[in-house]
Amino acid sequence: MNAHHDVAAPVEDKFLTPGVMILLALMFVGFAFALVRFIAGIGAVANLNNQFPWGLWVAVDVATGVALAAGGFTTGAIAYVFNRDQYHAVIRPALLTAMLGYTFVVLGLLVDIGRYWNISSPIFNHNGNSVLFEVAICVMIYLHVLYIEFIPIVAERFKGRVDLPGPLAKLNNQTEKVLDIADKILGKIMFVFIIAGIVLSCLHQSSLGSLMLIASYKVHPLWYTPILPLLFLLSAFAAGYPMVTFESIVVSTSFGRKPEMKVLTPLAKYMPIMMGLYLAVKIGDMIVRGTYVYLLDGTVQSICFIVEMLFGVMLPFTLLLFRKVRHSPGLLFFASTLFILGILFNRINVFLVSYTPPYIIKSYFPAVGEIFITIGLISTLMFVYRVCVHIFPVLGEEPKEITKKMSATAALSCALVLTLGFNGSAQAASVKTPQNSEDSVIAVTSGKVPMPVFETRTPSIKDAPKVIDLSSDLIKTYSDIYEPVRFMHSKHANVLNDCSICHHRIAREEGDTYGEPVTMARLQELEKLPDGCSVCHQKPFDAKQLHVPGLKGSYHQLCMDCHREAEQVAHRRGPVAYSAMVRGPVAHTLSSRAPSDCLSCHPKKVPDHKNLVKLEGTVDALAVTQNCLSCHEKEGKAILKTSHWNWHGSSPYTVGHESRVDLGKAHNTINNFCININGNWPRCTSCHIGYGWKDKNFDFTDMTKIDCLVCHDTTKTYKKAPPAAGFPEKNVDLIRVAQNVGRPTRDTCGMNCHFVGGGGDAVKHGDMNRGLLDASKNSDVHMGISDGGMDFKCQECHRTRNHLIAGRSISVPAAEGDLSCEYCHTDKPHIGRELIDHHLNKHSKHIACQTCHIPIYSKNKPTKVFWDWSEAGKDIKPPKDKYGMPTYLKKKGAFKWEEAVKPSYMWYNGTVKRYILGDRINTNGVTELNRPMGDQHDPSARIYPFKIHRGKQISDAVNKCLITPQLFGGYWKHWDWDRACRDGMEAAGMSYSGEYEFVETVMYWGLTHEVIPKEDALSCAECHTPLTKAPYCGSCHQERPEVDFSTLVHKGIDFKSLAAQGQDVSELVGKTDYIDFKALGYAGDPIEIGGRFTKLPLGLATKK
Amino acid sequence: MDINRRNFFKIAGAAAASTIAVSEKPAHAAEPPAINADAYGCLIDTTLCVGCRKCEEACNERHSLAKPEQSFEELSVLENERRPDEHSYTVVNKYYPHSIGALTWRKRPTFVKFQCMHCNDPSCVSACIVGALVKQPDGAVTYDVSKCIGCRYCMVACPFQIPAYEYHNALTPEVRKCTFCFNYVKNGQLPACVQVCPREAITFGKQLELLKLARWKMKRHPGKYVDHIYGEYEVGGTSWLYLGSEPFEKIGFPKLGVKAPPRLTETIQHSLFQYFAAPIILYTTLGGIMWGTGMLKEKDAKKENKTD
Ligand code: SF4
Ligand code: SF4
Ligand code: SF4
Repeated sequence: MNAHHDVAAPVEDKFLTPGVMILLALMFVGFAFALVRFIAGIGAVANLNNQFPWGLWVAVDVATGVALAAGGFTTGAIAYVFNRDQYHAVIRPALLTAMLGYTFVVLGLLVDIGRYWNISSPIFNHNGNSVLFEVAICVMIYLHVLYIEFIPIVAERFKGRVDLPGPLAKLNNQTEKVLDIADKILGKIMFVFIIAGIVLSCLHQSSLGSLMLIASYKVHPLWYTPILPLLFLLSAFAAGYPMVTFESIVVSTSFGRKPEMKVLTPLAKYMPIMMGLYLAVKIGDMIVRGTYVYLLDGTVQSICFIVEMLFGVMLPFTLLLFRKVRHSPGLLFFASTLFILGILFNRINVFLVSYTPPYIIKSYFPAVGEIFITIGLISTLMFVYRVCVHIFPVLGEEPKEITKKMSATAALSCALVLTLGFNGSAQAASVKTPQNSEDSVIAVTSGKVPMPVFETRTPSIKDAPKVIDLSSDLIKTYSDIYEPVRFMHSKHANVLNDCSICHHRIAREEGDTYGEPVTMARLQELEKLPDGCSVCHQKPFDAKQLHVPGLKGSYHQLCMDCHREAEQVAHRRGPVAYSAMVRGPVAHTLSSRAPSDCLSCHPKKVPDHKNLVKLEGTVDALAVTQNCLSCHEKEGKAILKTSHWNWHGSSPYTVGHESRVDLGKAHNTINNFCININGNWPRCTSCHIGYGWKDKNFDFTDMTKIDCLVCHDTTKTYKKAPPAAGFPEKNVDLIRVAQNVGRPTRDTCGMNCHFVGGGGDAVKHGDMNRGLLDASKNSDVHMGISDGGMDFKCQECHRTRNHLIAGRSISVPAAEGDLSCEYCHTDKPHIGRELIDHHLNKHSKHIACQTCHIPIYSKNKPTKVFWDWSEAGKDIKPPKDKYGMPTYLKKKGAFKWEEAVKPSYMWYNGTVKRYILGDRINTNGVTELNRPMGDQHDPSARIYPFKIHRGKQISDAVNKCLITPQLFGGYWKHWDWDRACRDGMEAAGMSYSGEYEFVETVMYWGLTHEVIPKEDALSCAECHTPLTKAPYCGSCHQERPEVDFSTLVHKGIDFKSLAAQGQDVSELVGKTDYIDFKALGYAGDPIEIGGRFTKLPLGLATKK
Repeated sequence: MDINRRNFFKIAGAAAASTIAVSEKPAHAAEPPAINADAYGCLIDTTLCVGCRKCEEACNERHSLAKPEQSFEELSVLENERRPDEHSYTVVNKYYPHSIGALTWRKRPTFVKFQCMHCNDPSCVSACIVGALVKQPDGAVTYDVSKCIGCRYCMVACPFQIPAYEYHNALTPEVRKCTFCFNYVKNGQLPACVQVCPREAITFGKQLELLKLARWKMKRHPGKYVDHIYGEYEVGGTSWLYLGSEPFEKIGFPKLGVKAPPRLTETIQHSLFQYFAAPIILYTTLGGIMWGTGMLKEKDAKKENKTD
């Protein structure tokens, strides 16, 4: 093809070259990624995230695209505004590039903006404050201007040659006319558009720079300058001619033409001027703002800045100063390309590298998808360019001779206009840190003078109410997630000993919600109980008293501020501090154990499960569990770790087996009631919280076998069938039970299991029986519902977390959490400052609370105290004892029952010596199955009350170890002990000699329930015989008129009146030395001979 | 009149000078919006927050946001610094501001709840191309999805890095951020997070009153708080304010200046576009040059013709 037309003409080369094929391939890949972006969202192809909302697309497709399309308006400016006709040769290619460039900027934007279908929104919704709005509108108008500028080229191509295909051919004439008119009119007014194009370009080129100004705290100072728009504009000016040059040389080369150096060389003269201006302003700005300090700090940002400046600006600038460079196509091309890359790098730097958001959770690097979509767009642009030059007369115009030299000032004048404009308005973004001078605070230590507290005056902490339900409708209207706190008020009063710590203000008169600050002394002076919280703390955020927290807030602030100060410490390992029942001298004091998480104070409300339970028709128990697990898988997993599920667990209190985790009644512990589980599974496991434990192969890792309902039933209708390995009775309406689940109650914990341990009411535990279900305060002060009992739920003491339940019975080894009376009552449980309180509190180091406060057990229900298996198997009519209880059963042998029993007292330090299956029995006497450890000389041991259960049970006469007979389906069927022993021992995996005997065993059962009201605790005189006679306390203490020693020492349980009420306590009437000091190791009454570690105060000798 | 080249550029220079004159008028510096006396705000006392995440949960429920993988009771998530995102308008972070040498004292963490600050002069609002974000007179910065084009410029602009985006929604992605529970506050209700917070760590009230409350608290508890109400002056002030016992940079707050970023951009913007002065002047100047150089060219042509 002829490379030297005089005028521009369509290119007539072969269209499909290998280069074009590559372009097509890249276009295809880009298109594929774009498809994914439009189907699956930006996130599917891009690494953009909440920290980096703008990435490659904005920096390259948009910002660089616009900058590099600057060739359009800069050549327009020189050719038309400055009337340098000789440059007309490069106008058409530059115009085409600009037109396509902007078109692709818009296409790139469509990919980048999330709601691309709403792209016309800015036309209707204006935000004049938004830089982006201005850019958008300018780009939109400019794009149209570019299309208009291109019309003459289209007209030139088709004028006189319109030949529409097929039926459209009729329109040929009309189209021809339109083209003609358009061409003529446009020819006259084109200058309007050309100038408009330049103005619009100046505006949005600079505004692109303003875009990042709003992100003042995120853009690196090397780039962040108020004159960023000016720099963008200058760099766009400077990029125009290098871009035209670059493009012209590439096109010439690819079409096999000679580079049009006749135009390019003169054009190149302007390049260093523009670049120099840009460089000067940029460096000047850096010096003015002093940001050169960042230059050498070695960060990515500073390195990028240096590279950008050195290779992207300074090098091409310097090169272009040389005449040789401007005249050599190769060198000119090199310099132009360098600058173009410099601009690309600058835009990437401004939009990406410099962008450092305050919180970088995830950093940003363009994803493959982003890169390929960008490459795809560029390829498409090049492809379309090629198509256009094949269709339209764009290339090949012969440049006119250059006749005039151009004044540099002329080229710069339009840049200057804007430059000065900006300098006038832009302000340096220097920011001052706020100074808050008004609030200079003076540190004052608010010292509280400790006031002496006199017990005789009101109020004293003895007046404190015991337990308060912090329930309020006001709180519930705001949030109702948790159940109200049952606040142990007297405990807190006892620990703090000063009402005014919490009750910090007091109303001055009726209705006063502001009040005055108060101290204990002031309260006592006024003889006034402090005000409750809700007197002042009411609705939150009351505009009239914003500084007063609402009721909910004040509770949480007050409670948690203290609790957080005294954070809960981890349990110390070891038998003592870890003890469930004993708090010896090394145990942590209570002040260090204040919990501060939500669940320690109040349980979460159980939502109504009516609609949550998705069960219909007739369902079996396993289906219910499946349904529960569909939401509560986590809980299911937790259950698998509990001792309620495994029936064994870690037992750090079992002496000699501290680190074992397999001790439990699931395999290896034994009792003298129904003896042991081996061989008896289906019967024993009817109390297990699972379904189907019918032999030793039960899968303890299978959550689907969990019985949720046995603990969470609230309908009281769920019952397990006795020998069904844990499955419920047939007639239970499982759906109804499942729809009404809630927190465990006495019905589930007690009636389903613990009240009836041992196969019947009160059989095993001396302190738990069905009487507790609706107990009176006399039965148990905590669980009592009537007569002022506190109506505790089991969980209120047995705190539960992840289904692990605090507290333990000494009869079974597994333990999941610490629990003792002192948790609430502290180790100085007797509130008050009187002498008696002082003496009683001294007891707490040596005597467990239970010892005095559970003076008798099994108060209202007889409990088994003796069981003789050797008598079993006789067909006699069961005789009844005085309580109406059978004392013989063929299956079980002979027993004894007792009611209202005096406990046995023993030293106990919390650890237990336990008989484990296979251990040798005590051949010289009674075998102890679980002996509480500790003695008088053990400082961590205290005196505890126990129920003692004696038994006579079957044992191997040769091997001298206890036997686990098969009873259910064994002895109870065939009445043959030998066979029962053989089968049972086989099930347990133990050997059996073939000879059996019956041996005596004993078990100790701790007593912690059935706490009697404090008026009925053991009196001083009950144990300390010397106090029963005058002068009572007077041997040591002076008489005081207001204290009657005789009443004082006898204050406590009165067996006489109890007997009169029908309790079986007649033999306890008049009893002294109740706990039997000698049996406990004392030589005599400690008030006569001194304590176990202390001498008597005052050195008083005892009266003989 | 014989216009020679020199004269011509003098005229051009004068035109340029007039542009400066116009743009230097102080009237062009865009005024920041004053705090509306009725604007609501919240004061977060970080010394009260215990990091229970109830606020996160309540916000999640009220706005029907996606449920997180781990339940809100899981407090170990606090160990990693998080930011509000498209699924959570608010997050609570845990900071350990105390160090002894290289050791961090983990016993005394500070918990900070983050959400949109509802700036008085919000960058996001100024930036939003279509005005989808609006500062309401009652304090909230609200978002109107129907206008939004998804350009994410608000995210670029926000100095607190608050607005988040639904990158995985192909058709109807939204910018998501705390709404100040606008629809509830309008009806006299409380924001969900405020309402649920057990510690009332967040006080809801009129912004001006809250500033007074903050000062009152500082006076009443001398030495408890650092002498800085975060948000009182930062970026022109914010509706949500913070009190803290630790320097705010140590507990996850960006150190920001007192000037709102929109003041700079809007000033530039408005000086360029006030009465369209700059574009018009530029246009006429260019037109003048075009006319002038055209004349010169004709003259030259004539001269050449003559000499020919
Ligand atoms: S609810 Fe209140 S205390 Fe809890 S994390 Fe949120 S702000 Fe902090
Ligand atoms: S914090 Fe960010 S998103 Fe919220 S109002 Fe301020 S600028 Fe807008
Ligand atoms: S004000 Fe409303 S939207 Fe904002 S964090 Fe609080 S609850 Fe969420």
